[in-house]
Amino acid sequence: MLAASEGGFHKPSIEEFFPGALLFAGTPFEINRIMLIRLVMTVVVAGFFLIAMRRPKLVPRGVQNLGEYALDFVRIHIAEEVMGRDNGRRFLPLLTTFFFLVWACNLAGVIPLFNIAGSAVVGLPLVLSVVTYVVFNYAGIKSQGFGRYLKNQLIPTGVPVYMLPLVMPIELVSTFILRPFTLTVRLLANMMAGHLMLVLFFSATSFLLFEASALFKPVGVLSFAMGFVFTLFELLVQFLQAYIFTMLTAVYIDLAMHEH
Amino acid sequence: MSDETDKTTSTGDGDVWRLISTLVAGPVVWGGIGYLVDWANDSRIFLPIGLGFGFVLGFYIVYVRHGRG
Repeated sequence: MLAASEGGFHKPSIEEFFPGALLFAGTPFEINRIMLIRLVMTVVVAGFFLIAMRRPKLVPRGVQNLGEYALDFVRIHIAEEVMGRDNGRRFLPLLTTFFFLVWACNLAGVIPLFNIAGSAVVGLPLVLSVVTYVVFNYAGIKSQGFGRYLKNQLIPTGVPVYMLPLVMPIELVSTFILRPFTLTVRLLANMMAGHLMLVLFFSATSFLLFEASALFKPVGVLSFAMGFVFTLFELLVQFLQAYIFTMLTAVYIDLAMHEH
Repeated sequence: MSDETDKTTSTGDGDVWRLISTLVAGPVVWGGIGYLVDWANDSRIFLPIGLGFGFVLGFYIVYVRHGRG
């Protein structure tokens, strides 16, 4: 978006998602703009909860009130809703971390100067999906044992033996490949598309209002209005994607722990 | 703030997501196998057959799991 002010129409491209290195260039610890945004948002989330829960009172006030409301949202509407009270509370720390980390990194997409979501590049969604993958398999193996867990995941109850070679590959792909894959791609694609839309509208606004001929200025106003509407829409998508990512993590863990 | 829920076990909502995943995985797996067979034989018939077969199998698994009551 900043590039739009440098002249000409800046059309969104895939290069948006691969900015140059800021620190430690050429090493495995290279930090670019997007990685920096992730770190900043992580510190913001951690800082918020540290401040909110620093001196907890029995009757919450101020920031503690907000913190408890946030924690209760994940506990009631995701963890306990999907997994029930006991398991919900057991996995609450993981689910809470996922929800607020994903939401905060998504929100960076509409925060001025950041202008891109920390989850719009594959690294963050992939790492969180791998954590989900490890946790749901671990939870399943721990609660049922390895053999029983595998049997429950791969062999649907009631299928005759001669059908198993046909249906087992489907269950294998559905459970062990599609789950982490779709979890990663859903979040990544939504954030990437949202960023491209916003860049498109605001770049067009800048070009049409300040560089194109006077004839195009009304179109620039329309483009700005659309950019504003899409920013609001993006706020909704950012929250929804964090919610869906966390809820699916809870669903996968719950499915792994129960026989079907 | 503390709106206690009295559910102690899971709601089974996960079954819906599992159902969708199975319906997608069927065509992916058998369509993929059909594509490989087509690629090996330089033909063009096994991909659509695999897709259809996988779709039917996906429905079959869903029926066995949830449709029999």
